[in-house]
Amino acid sequence: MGIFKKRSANPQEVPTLICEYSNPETYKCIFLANYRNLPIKLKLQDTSKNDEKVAHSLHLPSANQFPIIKDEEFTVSGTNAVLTYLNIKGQAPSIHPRKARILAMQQYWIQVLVKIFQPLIEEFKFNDAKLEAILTELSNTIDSKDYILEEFSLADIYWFAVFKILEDKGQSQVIQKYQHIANWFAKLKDIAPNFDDLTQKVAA
Amino acid sequence: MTNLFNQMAEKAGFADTSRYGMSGDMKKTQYVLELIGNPADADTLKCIITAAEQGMEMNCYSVIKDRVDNFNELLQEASPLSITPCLREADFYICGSDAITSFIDARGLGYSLTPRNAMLAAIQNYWVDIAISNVAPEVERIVGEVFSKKYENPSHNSDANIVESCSANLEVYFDALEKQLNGNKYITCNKYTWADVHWTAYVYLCVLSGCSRLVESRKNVAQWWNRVNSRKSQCGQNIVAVDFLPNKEEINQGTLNSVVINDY
Repeated sequence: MGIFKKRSANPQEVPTLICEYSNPETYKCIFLANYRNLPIKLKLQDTSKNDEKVAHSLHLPSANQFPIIKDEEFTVSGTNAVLTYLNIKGQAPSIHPRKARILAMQQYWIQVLVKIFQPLIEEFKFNDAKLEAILTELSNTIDSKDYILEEFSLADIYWFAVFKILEDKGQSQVIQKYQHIANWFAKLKDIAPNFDDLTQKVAA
Repeated sequence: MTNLFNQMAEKAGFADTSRYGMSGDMKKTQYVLELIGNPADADTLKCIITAAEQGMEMNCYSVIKDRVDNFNELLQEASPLSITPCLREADFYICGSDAITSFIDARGLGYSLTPRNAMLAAIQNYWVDIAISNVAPEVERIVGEVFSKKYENPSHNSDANIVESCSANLEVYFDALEKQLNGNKYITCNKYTWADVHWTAYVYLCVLSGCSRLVESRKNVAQWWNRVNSRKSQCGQNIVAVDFLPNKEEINQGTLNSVVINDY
Protein backbone atom coordinates (compact mmCIF):
# COMPACT_ATOMS: atom_id res chain seq x y z
CA MET A 1 0.00 0.00 0.00
CA GLY A 2 1.60 3.21 -1.16
CA ILE A 3 5.04 1.66 -1.71
CA PHE A 4 4.60 0.80 -5.36
CA LYS A 5 3.45 3.50 -7.69
CA LYS A 6 1.49 2.69 -10.79
CA ARG A 7 3.88 2.72 -13.72
CA SER A 8 3.31 5.64 -16.03
CA ALA A 9 1.86 4.83 -19.44
CA ASN A 10 4.52 7.03 -21.05
CA PRO A 11 7.61 6.89 -18.85
CA GLN A 12 9.58 9.05 -21.29
CA GLU A 13 6.99 11.79 -21.35
CA VAL A 14 8.22 15.07 -19.92
CA PRO A 15 6.03 17.83 -18.45
CA THR A 16 4.75 20.43 -20.89
CA LEU A 17 5.02 24.10 -20.00
CA ILE A 18 2.32 26.05 -21.78
CA CYS A 19 3.38 29.66 -21.76
CA GLU A 20 3.13 33.09 -23.27
CA TYR A 21 5.49 34.74 -25.72
CA SER A 22 8.02 37.19 -24.23
CA ASN A 23 6.80 36.96 -20.67
CA PRO A 24 8.81 37.13 -17.42
CA GLU A 25 6.66 34.38 -15.89
CA THR A 26 7.73 32.05 -18.71
CA TYR A 27 11.38 32.95 -18.14
CA LYS A 28 11.11 32.21 -14.39
CA CYS A 29 9.79 28.72 -15.11
CA ILE A 30 12.37 27.95 -17.81
CA PHE A 31 15.26 29.13 -15.62
CA LEU A 32 14.13 27.01 -12.65
CA ALA A 33 13.56 23.88 -14.74
CA ASN A 34 16.96 24.32 -16.39
CA TYR A 35 18.71 24.95 -13.06
CA ARG A 36 17.20 21.77 -11.60
CA ASN A 37 17.94 19.74 -14.75
CA LEU A 38 14.27 19.05 -15.22
CA PRO A 39 13.41 18.39 -18.86
CA ILE A 40 10.30 20.26 -20.03
CA LYS A 41 8.57 20.67 -23.36
CA LEU A 42 7.67 24.25 -24.28
CA LYS A 43 4.39 25.06 -25.94
CA LEU A 44 3.41 28.59 -26.87
CA GLN A 45 -0.25 29.38 -26.40
CA ASP A 46 -2.48 32.00 -27.85
CA THR A 47 -3.53 33.83 -24.69
CA SER A 48 -6.89 34.83 -26.12
CA LYS A 49 -7.99 31.18 -26.23
CA ASN A 50 -9.16 29.32 -23.18
CA ASP A 51 -8.27 25.67 -22.83
CA GLU A 52 -11.52 24.08 -21.72
CA LYS A 53 -9.82 21.01 -20.25
CA VAL A 54 -7.59 23.22 -18.11
CA ALA A 55 -10.50 25.41 -17.06
CA HIS A 56 -12.49 22.35 -16.02
CA SER A 57 -9.58 20.83 -14.15
CA LEU A 58 -8.91 24.04 -12.21
CA HIS A 59 -12.58 24.91 -11.59
CA LEU A 60 -12.25 28.39 -13.08
CA PRO A 61 -12.72 29.41 -16.71
CA SER A 62 -10.20 32.25 -16.92
CA ALA A 63 -8.28 32.92 -13.70
CA ASN A 64 -4.49 32.77 -13.65
CA GLN A 65 -4.25 30.95 -16.97
CA PHE A 66 -0.55 31.20 -17.79
CA PRO A 67 1.90 29.64 -17.36
CA ILE A 68 0.40 26.15 -17.20
CA ILE A 69 2.20 22.91 -16.48
CA LYS A 70 0.80 19.61 -17.73
CA ASP A 71 2.38 16.43 -16.46
CA GLU A 72 0.47 13.34 -17.53
CA GLU A 73 -2.95 13.76 -15.88
CA PHE A 74 -1.89 16.62 -13.64
CA THR A 75 -2.49 20.25 -14.63
CA VAL A 76 -1.93 23.45 -12.71
CA SER A 77 -1.65 27.11 -13.69
CA GLY A 78 -0.22 30.37 -12.35
CA THR A 79 3.43 31.27 -11.77
CA ASN A 80 3.44 30.49 -8.07
CA ALA A 81 1.92 27.04 -8.54
CA VAL A 82 3.99 26.09 -11.59
CA LEU A 83 7.27 27.19 -9.98
CA THR A 84 6.40 25.24 -6.85
CA TYR A 85 5.81 22.13 -8.94
CA LEU A 86 9.06 22.59 -10.88
CA ASN A 87 10.94 23.19 -7.63
CA ILE A 88 9.85 19.91 -6.01
CA LYS A 89 9.47 17.58 -8.99
CA GLY A 90 12.50 15.47 -9.91
CA GLN A 91 15.58 14.29 -8.06
CA ALA A 92 17.62 17.49 -7.76
CA PRO A 93 17.48 19.31 -4.41
CA SER A 94 14.78 21.99 -4.17
CA ILE A 95 15.76 25.64 -3.87
CA HIS A 96 14.55 26.33 -0.36
CA PRO A 97 16.60 28.24 2.21
CA ARG A 98 16.83 26.30 5.46
CA LYS A 99 17.42 29.37 7.62
CA ALA A 100 14.19 31.20 8.54
CA ARG A 101 15.71 34.63 8.10
CA ILE A 102 17.05 33.90 4.61
CA LEU A 103 13.71 32.33 3.65
CA ALA A 104 11.94 35.47 4.85
CA MET A 105 14.29 37.71 2.86
CA GLN A 106 13.73 35.56 -0.23
CA GLN A 107 9.98 36.08 0.10
CA TYR A 108 10.47 39.81 0.78
CA TRP A 109 12.38 40.32 -2.47
CA ILE A 110 9.92 38.23 -4.45
CA GLN A 111 7.08 40.32 -3.02
CA VAL A 112 8.84 43.59 -3.87
CA LEU A 113 9.33 42.38 -7.45
CA VAL A 114 5.85 41.01 -8.05
CA LYS A 115 3.77 43.60 -6.23
CA ILE A 116 5.73 46.82 -6.85
CA PHE A 117 8.51 46.51 -9.44
CA GLN A 118 6.77 44.48 -12.16
CA PRO A 119 3.64 46.69 -12.26
CA LEU A 120 5.89 49.75 -12.71
CA ILE A 121 7.77 48.05 -15.56
CA GLU A 122 4.54 46.94 -17.21
CA GLU A 123 3.42 50.58 -17.21
CA PHE A 124 6.83 51.66 -18.65
CA LYS A 125 7.49 53.85 -15.60
CA PHE A 126 11.26 53.52 -15.99
CA ASN A 127 11.99 56.85 -14.31
CA ASP A 128 9.62 56.43 -11.39
CA ALA A 129 11.13 57.40 -8.00
CA LYS A 130 9.84 54.17 -6.47
CA LEU A 131 11.57 52.10 -9.14
CA GLU A 132 14.84 53.86 -8.36
CA ALA A 133 14.31 53.34 -4.62
CA ILE A 134 13.79 49.61 -5.19
CA LEU A 135 16.87 49.25 -7.40
CA THR A 136 18.97 51.20 -4.91
CA GLU A 137 17.82 48.94 -2.07
CA LEU A 138 18.39 45.83 -4.22
CA SER A 139 21.87 47.00 -5.21
CA ASN A 140 22.76 47.67 -1.57
CA THR A 141 21.47 44.23 -0.61
CA ILE A 142 23.48 42.45 -3.30
CA ASP A 143 26.57 44.53 -2.57
CA SER A 144 29.47 42.39 -3.79
CA LYS A 145 27.80 39.02 -3.25
CA ASP A 146 27.14 36.52 -6.04
CA TYR A 147 23.46 36.33 -5.19
CA ILE A 148 20.77 38.62 -3.78
CA LEU A 149 20.93 36.83 -0.43
CA GLU A 150 23.66 34.79 1.23
CA GLU A 151 22.84 31.82 -1.01
CA PHE A 152 21.22 31.20 -4.39
CA SER A 153 17.45 31.46 -3.99
CA LEU A 154 14.21 31.83 -5.89
CA ALA A 155 14.61 35.60 -5.49
CA ASP A 156 17.55 35.41 -7.95
CA ILE A 157 15.41 33.56 -10.49
CA TYR A 158 12.48 35.99 -10.19
CA TRP A 159 14.63 39.09 -10.59
CA PHE A 160 16.82 37.58 -13.32
CA ALA A 161 13.75 36.75 -15.43
CA VAL A 162 12.45 40.31 -15.28
CA PHE A 163 15.84 41.90 -16.01
CA LYS A 164 16.36 39.46 -18.90
CA ILE A 165 13.06 40.50 -20.44
CA LEU A 166 14.11 44.15 -20.08
CA GLU A 167 17.41 43.33 -21.79
CA ASP A 168 15.67 41.44 -24.59
CA LYS A 169 13.45 44.46 -25.15
CA GLY A 170 16.39 46.85 -25.28
CA GLN A 171 15.72 48.38 -21.85
CA SER A 172 18.82 47.20 -20.01
CA GLN A 173 19.75 50.82 -19.21
CA VAL A 174 17.30 50.49 -16.31
CA ILE A 175 19.88 48.46 -14.38
CA GLN A 176 23.18 49.54 -15.95
CA LYS A 177 23.81 52.40 -13.51
CA TYR A 178 23.58 50.01 -10.56
CA GLN A 179 26.97 48.33 -10.66
CA HIS A 180 26.21 45.62 -8.08
CA ILE A 181 23.07 44.62 -9.96
CA ALA A 182 24.85 44.60 -13.30
CA ASN A 183 27.62 42.39 -11.89
CA TRP A 184 25.12 40.03 -10.28
CA PHE A 185 23.15 39.83 -13.57
CA ALA A 186 26.30 38.86 -15.49
CA LYS A 187 27.13 36.15 -12.93
CA LEU A 188 23.60 34.73 -13.11
CA LYS A 189 24.00 34.37 -16.89
CA ASP A 190 26.96 32.11 -16.19
CA ILE A 191 24.73 29.89 -14.03
CA ALA A 192 22.39 29.38 -16.97
CA PRO A 193 24.73 29.49 -20.00
CA ASN A 194 22.16 27.98 -22.36
CA PHE A 195 19.27 30.17 -21.19
CA ASP A 196 19.21 32.16 -24.45
CA ASP A 197 18.95 28.95 -26.48
CA LEU A 198 16.17 27.63 -24.28
CA THR A 199 14.16 30.82 -24.46
CA GLN A 200 14.76 31.49 -28.13
CA LYS A 201 11.33 30.19 -29.00
CA VAL A 202 9.58 32.39 -26.45
CA ALA A 203 11.88 35.44 -26.36
CA ALA A 204 10.97 38.98 -27.34
CA MET B 1 12.93 50.20 12.78
CA THR B 2 13.80 49.85 16.46
CA ASN B 3 12.28 53.27 17.15
CA LEU B 4 8.99 52.44 15.48
CA PHE B 5 8.62 49.14 17.33
CA ASN B 6 9.69 50.60 20.67
CA GLN B 7 7.33 53.57 20.42
CA MET B 8 4.36 51.46 19.32
CA ALA B 9 5.12 48.86 22.01
CA GLU B 10 5.03 51.61 24.60
CA LYS B 11 1.72 52.93 23.30
CA ALA B 12 0.25 49.40 23.26
CA GLY B 13 1.31 48.84 26.87
CA PHE B 14 4.25 46.54 26.13
CA ALA B 15 6.92 49.03 27.16
CA ASP B 16 8.21 47.14 30.15
CA THR B 17 11.35 45.62 28.68
CA SER B 18 12.11 43.89 31.95
CA ARG B 19 9.27 41.47 31.14
CA TYR B 20 10.52 38.00 30.43
CA GLY B 21 10.71 37.45 26.69
CA MET B 22 11.12 41.08 25.65
CA SER B 23 14.28 42.81 24.39
CA GLY B 24 15.56 39.80 22.58
CA ASP B 25 15.76 37.32 25.44
CA MET B 26 13.91 34.07 25.02
CA LYS B 27 10.54 33.17 26.44
CA LYS B 28 10.16 29.47 27.00
CA THR B 29 11.58 28.11 23.75
CA GLN B 30 11.21 31.13 21.51
CA TYR B 31 11.78 34.83 21.10
CA VAL B 32 8.67 36.94 21.43
CA LEU B 33 7.68 38.24 18.02
CA GLU B 34 6.32 41.76 17.52
CA LEU B 35 4.01 42.65 14.66
CA ILE B 36 2.86 46.04 13.39
CA GLY B 37 -0.29 45.72 11.32
CA ASN B 38 -3.80 46.85 10.54
CA PRO B 39 -6.83 45.01 11.99
CA ALA B 40 -8.80 45.52 8.75
CA ASP B 41 -6.01 44.14 6.58
CA ALA B 42 -6.11 40.52 5.42
CA ASP B 43 -2.30 40.35 5.28
CA THR B 44 -2.08 41.22 8.98
CA LEU B 45 -4.66 38.56 9.79
CA LYS B 46 -2.62 35.95 7.86
CA CYS B 47 0.39 36.73 10.08
CA ILE B 48 -1.71 36.32 13.25
CA ILE B 49 -3.22 33.04 12.01
CA THR B 50 0.24 31.68 11.14
CA ALA B 51 1.69 32.65 14.54
CA ALA B 52 -1.19 30.96 16.34
CA GLU B 53 -1.02 27.87 14.10
CA GLN B 54 2.71 27.54 14.76
CA GLY B 55 2.51 28.32 18.47
CA MET B 56 4.57 31.50 18.32
CA GLU B 57 3.81 34.24 20.84
CA MET B 58 3.43 37.59 19.12
CA ASN B 59 2.78 41.06 20.51
CA CYS B 60 0.61 42.91 17.99
CA TYR B 61 0.55 46.69 17.59
CA SER B 62 -2.15 48.34 15.53
CA VAL B 63 -1.36 51.13 13.06
CA ILE B 64 -4.76 52.59 14.02
CA LYS B 65 -5.01 52.37 17.81
CA ASP B 66 -1.30 52.30 18.68
CA ARG B 67 -0.22 54.78 16.02
CA VAL B 68 2.48 57.17 17.18
CA ASP B 69 2.71 60.83 16.13
CA ASN B 70 5.58 60.45 13.68
CA PHE B 71 4.41 57.08 12.36
CA ASN B 72 4.86 57.79 8.63
CA GLU B 73 8.37 59.11 9.13
CA LEU B 74 9.38 56.15 11.30
CA LEU B 75 7.80 53.66 8.90
CA GLN B 76 9.67 55.20 5.98
CA GLU B 77 12.87 54.75 7.94
CA ALA B 78 11.98 51.18 8.83
CA SER B 79 10.43 50.09 5.54
CA PRO B 80 11.68 52.34 2.69
CA LEU B 81 9.08 50.91 0.33
CA SER B 82 6.31 51.38 2.93
CA ILE B 83 5.50 47.67 2.92
CA THR B 84 3.38 46.54 5.88
CA PRO B 85 2.80 44.54 8.07
CA CYS B 86 6.23 44.57 9.75
CA LEU B 87 7.72 42.03 12.14
CA ARG B 88 10.56 42.16 14.67
CA GLU B 89 12.26 39.18 16.25
CA ALA B 90 15.11 40.31 18.51
CA ASP B 91 17.51 42.03 16.06
CA PHE B 92 15.78 40.86 12.88
CA TYR B 93 13.19 42.92 10.98
CA ILE B 94 11.10 41.92 8.00
CA CYS B 95 8.15 43.46 6.15
CA GLY B 96 5.35 42.03 4.00
CA SER B 97 2.98 39.20 4.77
CA ASP B 98 4.63 36.58 2.50
CA ALA B 99 7.97 37.12 4.18
CA ILE B 100 6.53 37.25 7.70
CA THR B 101 4.36 34.16 7.36
CA SER B 102 7.23 32.16 5.80
CA PHE B 103 9.49 33.26 8.64
CA ILE B 104 6.99 32.30 11.36
CA ASP B 105 6.27 28.98 9.64
CA ALA B 106 9.99 28.13 9.57
CA ARG B 107 10.54 29.31 13.14
CA GLY B 108 7.38 27.77 14.55
CA LEU B 109 6.78 24.71 16.65
CA GLY B 110 4.44 22.89 14.28
CA TYR B 111 4.95 21.07 10.98
CA SER B 112 5.45 23.26 7.93
CA LEU B 113 2.21 24.35 6.29
CA THR B 114 3.54 23.47 2.81
CA PRO B 115 2.91 19.90 1.61
CA ARG B 116 6.02 17.99 0.51
CA ASN B 117 4.29 16.37 -2.44
CA ALA B 118 4.89 18.39 -5.64
CA MET B 119 1.31 18.14 -6.89
CA LEU B 120 -0.25 19.07 -3.56
CA ALA B 121 2.15 21.98 -3.07
CA ALA B 122 1.33 23.23 -6.57
CA ILE B 123 -2.43 22.92 -5.98
CA GLN B 124 -2.00 24.77 -2.69
CA ASN B 125 -0.27 27.66 -4.43
CA TYR B 126 -2.82 27.72 -7.24
CA TRP B 127 -5.46 28.46 -4.59
CA VAL B 128 -3.17 30.96 -2.87
CA ASP B 129 -2.82 32.75 -6.24
CA ILE B 130 -6.60 32.82 -6.72
CA ALA B 131 -7.00 34.28 -3.24
CA ILE B 132 -4.36 36.97 -3.74
CA SER B 133 -5.02 37.86 -7.37
CA ASN B 134 -8.78 37.56 -7.61
CA VAL B 135 -10.38 37.48 -4.17
CA ALA B 136 -8.22 40.06 -2.36
CA PRO B 137 -9.10 43.11 -4.51
CA GLU B 138 -12.85 42.58 -4.00
CA VAL B 139 -12.46 41.92 -0.27
CA GLU B 140 -10.31 45.06 0.09
CA ARG B 141 -13.08 47.16 -1.46
CA ILE B 142 -15.68 45.61 0.84
CA VAL B 143 -13.52 46.12 3.93
CA GLY B 144 -12.72 49.64 2.77
CA GLU B 145 -16.41 50.49 2.72
CA VAL B 146 -17.35 48.73 5.95
CA PHE B 147 -14.30 49.45 8.14
CA SER B 148 -11.27 51.29 6.73
CA LYS B 149 -12.97 54.48 5.54
CA LYS B 150 -14.36 54.95 9.05
CA TYR B 151 -10.83 55.17 10.43
CA GLU B 152 -10.37 58.45 8.54
CA ASN B 153 -13.97 59.61 8.68
CA PRO B 154 -15.96 58.16 11.62
CA SER B 155 -19.25 59.40 10.14
CA HIS B 156 -18.71 57.49 6.88
CA ASN B 157 -21.71 55.37 5.87
CA SER B 158 -20.77 52.31 3.88
CA ASP B 159 -22.18 52.14 0.38
CA ALA B 160 -24.31 48.98 0.25
CA ASN B 161 -24.18 48.95 -3.57
CA ILE B 162 -20.41 48.67 -3.59
CA VAL B 163 -20.48 45.89 -1.01
CA GLU B 164 -23.19 44.06 -2.96
CA SER B 165 -21.37 44.46 -6.27
CA CYS B 166 -18.06 43.18 -4.86
CA SER B 167 -19.85 40.31 -3.17
CA ALA B 168 -21.43 39.39 -6.52
CA ASN B 169 -17.98 39.47 -8.17
CA LEU B 170 -16.75 36.99 -5.55
CA GLU B 171 -19.44 34.42 -6.34
CA VAL B 172 -17.47 32.75 -9.13
CA TYR B 173 -14.46 32.16 -6.87
CA PHE B 174 -16.57 30.78 -4.04
CA ASP B 175 -18.27 28.49 -6.56
CA ALA B 176 -14.83 27.23 -7.58
CA LEU B 177 -13.86 26.78 -3.94
CA GLU B 178 -17.07 24.83 -3.36
CA LYS B 179 -16.06 22.40 -6.14
CA GLN B 180 -12.50 22.13 -4.87
CA LEU B 181 -13.68 21.30 -1.35
CA ASN B 182 -15.80 18.44 -2.63
CA GLY B 183 -14.22 15.42 -0.92
CA ASN B 184 -11.50 17.45 0.81
CA LYS B 185 -11.52 18.51 4.46
CA TYR B 186 -9.32 21.47 3.63
CA ILE B 187 -8.67 23.35 0.40
CA THR B 188 -5.67 21.44 -0.93
CA CYS B 189 -6.32 18.04 0.58
CA ASN B 190 -7.29 16.66 3.98
CA LYS B 191 -4.49 18.61 5.63
CA TYR B 192 -4.48 22.27 6.58
CA THR B 193 -2.10 24.27 4.30
CA TRP B 194 -1.22 27.83 3.26
CA ALA B 195 -4.26 27.88 0.98
CA ASP B 196 -6.44 27.63 4.10
CA VAL B 197 -4.52 30.43 5.85
CA HIS B 198 -5.05 32.81 2.92
CA TRP B 199 -8.71 31.97 2.37
CA THR B 200 -9.43 32.12 6.11
CA ALA B 201 -8.27 35.75 6.23
CA TYR B 202 -10.46 36.79 3.28
CA VAL B 203 -13.51 34.77 4.30
CA TYR B 204 -13.23 36.09 7.88
CA LEU B 205 -13.33 39.69 6.63
CA CYS B 206 -16.22 38.90 4.27
CA VAL B 207 -18.24 37.39 7.12
CA LEU B 208 -17.59 40.36 9.44
CA SER B 209 -18.49 42.75 6.62
CA GLY B 210 -21.95 41.22 6.25
CA CYS B 211 -21.22 38.95 3.27
CA SER B 212 -21.63 35.68 5.15
CA ARG B 213 -24.09 34.49 2.47
CA LEU B 214 -21.05 33.69 0.32
CA VAL B 215 -20.21 30.99 2.86
CA GLU B 216 -23.61 29.91 4.14
CA SER B 217 -25.09 29.32 0.68
CA ARG B 218 -22.43 26.71 -0.13
CA LYS B 219 -22.44 23.42 1.72
CA ASN B 220 -18.75 22.49 1.34
CA VAL B 221 -17.51 26.00 2.02
CA ALA B 222 -19.74 26.25 5.12
CA GLN B 223 -18.40 22.94 6.44
CA TRP B 224 -14.82 24.02 5.77
CA TRP B 225 -15.49 27.31 7.58
CA ASN B 226 -16.84 25.44 10.62
CA ARG B 227 -13.76 23.23 10.58
CA VAL B 228 -11.41 26.23 10.41
CA ASN B 229 -13.26 27.88 13.30
CA SER B 230 -12.86 24.90 15.58
CA ARG B 231 -9.58 23.23 14.61
CA LYS B 232 -6.78 23.09 17.17
CA SER B 233 -3.55 24.73 16.08
CA GLN B 234 -1.01 23.03 13.80
CA CYS B 235 1.54 22.87 16.65
CA GLY B 236 -0.80 20.82 18.81
CA GLN B 237 -1.45 23.45 21.46
CA ASN B 238 -4.93 23.90 22.78
CA ILE B 239 -5.73 27.07 20.83
CA VAL B 240 -7.84 27.98 17.81
CA ALA B 241 -6.07 30.43 15.47
CA VAL B 242 -9.25 32.28 14.42
CA ASP B 243 -9.92 33.17 18.09
CA PHE B 244 -6.95 35.56 17.99
CA LEU B 245 -8.35 37.59 15.10
CA PRO B 246 -9.98 40.92 16.01
CA ASN B 247 -13.79 40.76 16.19
CA LYS B 248 -16.05 43.30 14.50
CA GLU B 249 -16.02 45.70 17.43
CA GLU B 250 -12.24 45.47 17.73
CA ILE B 251 -11.79 46.16 14.02
CA ASN B 252 -14.07 49.18 14.36
CA GLN B 253 -11.94 50.37 17.27
CA GLY B 254 -8.77 49.59 15.34
CA THR B 255 -7.33 47.19 17.89
CA LEU B 256 -5.30 44.01 17.46
CA ASN B 257 -5.01 41.11 19.91
CA SER B 258 -1.65 39.61 20.69
CA VAL B 259 -1.04 35.89 20.25
CA VAL B 260 -0.53 34.51 23.74
CA ILE B 261 0.34 30.86 24.33
CA ASN B 262 -0.17 29.52 27.84
CA ASP B 263 -0.35 25.85 26.95
CA TYR B 264 3.36 24.87 26.76
